[in-house]
Amino acid sequence: MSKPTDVVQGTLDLLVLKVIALEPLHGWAIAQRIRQMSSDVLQVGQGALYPSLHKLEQNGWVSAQWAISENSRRAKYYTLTKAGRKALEDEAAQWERLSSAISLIVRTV
Amino acid sequence: MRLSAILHRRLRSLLFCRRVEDELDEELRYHLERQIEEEIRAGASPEEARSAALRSIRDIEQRKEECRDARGFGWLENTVGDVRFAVRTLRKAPVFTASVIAALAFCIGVNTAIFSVVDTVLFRPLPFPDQERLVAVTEGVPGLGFPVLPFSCPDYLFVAANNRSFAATGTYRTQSYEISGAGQPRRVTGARVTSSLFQVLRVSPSRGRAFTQDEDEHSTRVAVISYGFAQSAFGGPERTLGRTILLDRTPYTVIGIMPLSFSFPISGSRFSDHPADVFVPVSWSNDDRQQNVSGFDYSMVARLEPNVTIQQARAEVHSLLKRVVEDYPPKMKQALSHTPNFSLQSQTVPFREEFTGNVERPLLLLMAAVGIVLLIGCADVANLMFSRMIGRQREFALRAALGADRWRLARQTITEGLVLSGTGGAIGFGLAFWALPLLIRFAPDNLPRLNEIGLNWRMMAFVAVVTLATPLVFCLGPLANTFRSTVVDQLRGQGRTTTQGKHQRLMMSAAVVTQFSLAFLLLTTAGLLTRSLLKATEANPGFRPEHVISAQLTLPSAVYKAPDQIAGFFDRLLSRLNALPGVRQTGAISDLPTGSSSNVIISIEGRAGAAERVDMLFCRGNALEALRVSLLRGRLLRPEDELGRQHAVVISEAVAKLAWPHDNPIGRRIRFGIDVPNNDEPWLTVVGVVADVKARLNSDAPRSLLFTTLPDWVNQMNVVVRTSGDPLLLAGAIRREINRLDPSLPVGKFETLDQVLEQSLSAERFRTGLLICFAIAALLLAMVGIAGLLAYTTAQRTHEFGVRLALGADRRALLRLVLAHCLRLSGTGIGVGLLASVFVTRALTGLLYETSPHDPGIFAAVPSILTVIAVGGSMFPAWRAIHTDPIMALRAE
Repeated sequence: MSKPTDVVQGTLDLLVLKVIALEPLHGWAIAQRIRQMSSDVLQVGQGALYPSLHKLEQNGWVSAQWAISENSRRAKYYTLTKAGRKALEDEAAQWERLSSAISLIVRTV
Repeated sequence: MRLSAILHRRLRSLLFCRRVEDELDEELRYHLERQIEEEIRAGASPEEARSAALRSIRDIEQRKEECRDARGFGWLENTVGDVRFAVRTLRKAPVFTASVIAALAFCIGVNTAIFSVVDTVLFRPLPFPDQERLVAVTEGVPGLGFPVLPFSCPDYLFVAANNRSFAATGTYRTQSYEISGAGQPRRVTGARVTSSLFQVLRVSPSRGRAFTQDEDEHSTRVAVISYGFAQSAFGGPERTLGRTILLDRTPYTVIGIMPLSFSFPISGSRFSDHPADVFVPVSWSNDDRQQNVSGFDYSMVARLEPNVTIQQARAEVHSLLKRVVEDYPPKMKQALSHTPNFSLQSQTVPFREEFTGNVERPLLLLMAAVGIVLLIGCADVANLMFSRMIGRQREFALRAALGADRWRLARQTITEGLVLSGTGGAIGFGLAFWALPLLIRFAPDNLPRLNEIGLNWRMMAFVAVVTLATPLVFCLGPLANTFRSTVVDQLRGQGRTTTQGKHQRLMMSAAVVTQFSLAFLLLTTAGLLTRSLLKATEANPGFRPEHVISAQLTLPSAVYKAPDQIAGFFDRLLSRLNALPGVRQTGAISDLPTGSSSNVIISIEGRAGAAERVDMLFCRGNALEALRVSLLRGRLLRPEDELGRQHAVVISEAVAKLAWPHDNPIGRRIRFGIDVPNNDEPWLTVVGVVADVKARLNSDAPRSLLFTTLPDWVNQMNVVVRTSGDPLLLAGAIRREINRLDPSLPVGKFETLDQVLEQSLSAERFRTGLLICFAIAALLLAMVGIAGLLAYTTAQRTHEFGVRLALGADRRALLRLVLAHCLRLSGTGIGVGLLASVFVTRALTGLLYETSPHDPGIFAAVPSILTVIAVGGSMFPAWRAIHTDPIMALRAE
């Protein structure tokens, strides 16, 4: 298995939003989920994750609640807000456009 | 939801900073623990797991910082940090910090205080509705030497009845009244006013009512009083209406109380110095209405019709007065035909000019002076900030090179500027609050509108913006330079030797030169005014004021009706006072030589048509001897003259020169009024000529004074008593004698003539004192300025000095180097200042007494003082220069 790649710059927000769109998660679980969902290809370091979460929270795209985690500890759970759902759609569409454009170029080589 | 929710969250992170931080900690800790668990599950030992996790969570503080930034409001937390940082750095440079703050505080404080006074007196709208439509109207008889006079009763009535320019006209005349029936008998300033005056001013009593035209015409004895008077006499306006007061022992009913803000006439007005406390109907008698070409006592104020300009009004009043002259009775006309250029003139001016005339120039002078202080102060702050910033350019370059955010550096610099401005500003405003009441207390009491003066917020804001912007502007310039030039340049130390450094030095030198030339100007002005004040203080007033005490007495005409009664009272009083121990001479005189007096026209026997304007003083007893007026010819007036068949008069030298320029005036005759056949005034024989007496110590022109014993009905007299010892010790005894003669007669304040003379210069003393203060401030600020610049340049040359010393240069040579620089700068400033002063001080001409605006003494002293100041300012930098340690200086590179 090759070394997991760091998340592409600028796409972390999209990934985070996507992951918590399914269910509220805490930071650790978000990082784990991204890794699992990308079959260990994408790895999110806490150094990027938490600032991103806090920024999303300030933007009003996610909201945070303290709750008891699966290992019976207090953890901060992030939920997608209505505005966040809208932002997710925008970001996803944006990403679709971008990635297909990049694929086009790469494929033509 | 967006905005409010975001704001809420940001506020939360700001307000509950600690809680948010704790949550952040907990969240990151949770992450760390899960990481450790994960590692252990993967087979690592707990220690390994822990260190691996810790490795992965590199630099946890940095993460926290990033989270904080993401949360917003980090800037505010940063600002608090910046402020703390700024305070810490500033405390490390106490001399710099103290200088900047002191300069800022002084400039803001003093400018605000002075501007507040000047603005109130000269510019702020008067407290009357539509005040810009109010005008003051005067008449004048230029042919007789009276270009500006108040109106006479018939002339006023004619203009009031026939004009079409004014919506309303009113007139007033202040006079002193004896008041009884409300506390101790005393004297108050009263005003006889037409009922229309209140309508002209559009002010009505706050309680009760004003009197009507009907009451005025029927001489109804009603009075409207000022709020202050209601307070002091009756303890408040509540129980005052309907009360009776005795004015000159005549009962008047109080029918109205003016609002607290109403102060009229405005202090320092041309014809009435003090606001009145009691307003009564003018109620002109038939005699008043017949006074042609005399009785110019009534100040006219009018409100222009909406579409009429001042010029139109002036022209109309002028033509109306022409008709007045045409309508004079034939006898009068015939009489006036002897006076060749007789005409009635008129001036109509904005009402404001009624009182700004005397104070405008001195106040503008003060304003210019504080403006100069402000400029010097700003230059100081600019230079200090500038040199400090340039000194720190390398530090900033280094920090930028090490990765500091430029915006963050700029922000720190701005914060430092703001901390300085803020502190200086706060202290400055405190100073203004403290200085303004002080200014008001020491201001001459005839300064107009003293009661209205308050801190002027607009001015304060303006001065604050100017002063506070200075540090900011001057810390950003060098900062921008730092960012523009490459880091390498800065670190190599090229910031000092490049042309850019030269530009900066040139600019700072220019600022110091400007400071010195402005300080020169201010110092010269202060010096000239001081010299003039000293000259005026030492001037010979024409009499000997020491050991003379005086008090004004006014016999109420309701009781003292006949001249005999008045003469009897004064004769009895003077003979009793003469009997007191310690009394040398006594007398009574209608006005003190320093006070105002009655202007009269005299005609001279044997010179047809010759009329002169003179000031007349009535004397009783040995007044002239008591005053020690110096006799040049003939004799002084004696008590016997009051009985004589031949009326005697003593004239001052100025009158003698006017009337008989080539002959001996003794034995010649004059009489009051113009030389007309039907003039039935008695002839007065000149018995003596005395030296000129000055009205005010600082007036250059000698007064034409006439001392006479006639007429004998003058009921307002100043008792003057020359004593052998301290004159004030006799005040009690004199008061007792007066009370014994008339128990209800109020006796005013006893004053020595020395005090009276001193008071006549109070306005000069006030402005001179202030200017001296400002000049001293300017000197100190200039000293700070040159010290700052030299400190900067010597600091920049530390390396050079080090090399020079290492190569064996004499420390005295270094001292010479710094001193030469200092003298070059200050010398240039002094030169420029000298040139400017030669032109500018001419503007002082009217304010100086027997002092040339180019007084050589002052012009010699000022450069010396400034040079001493400059050298004094260079002491600290010079000391630093000669104590340069060559090894340290070279190693620092």
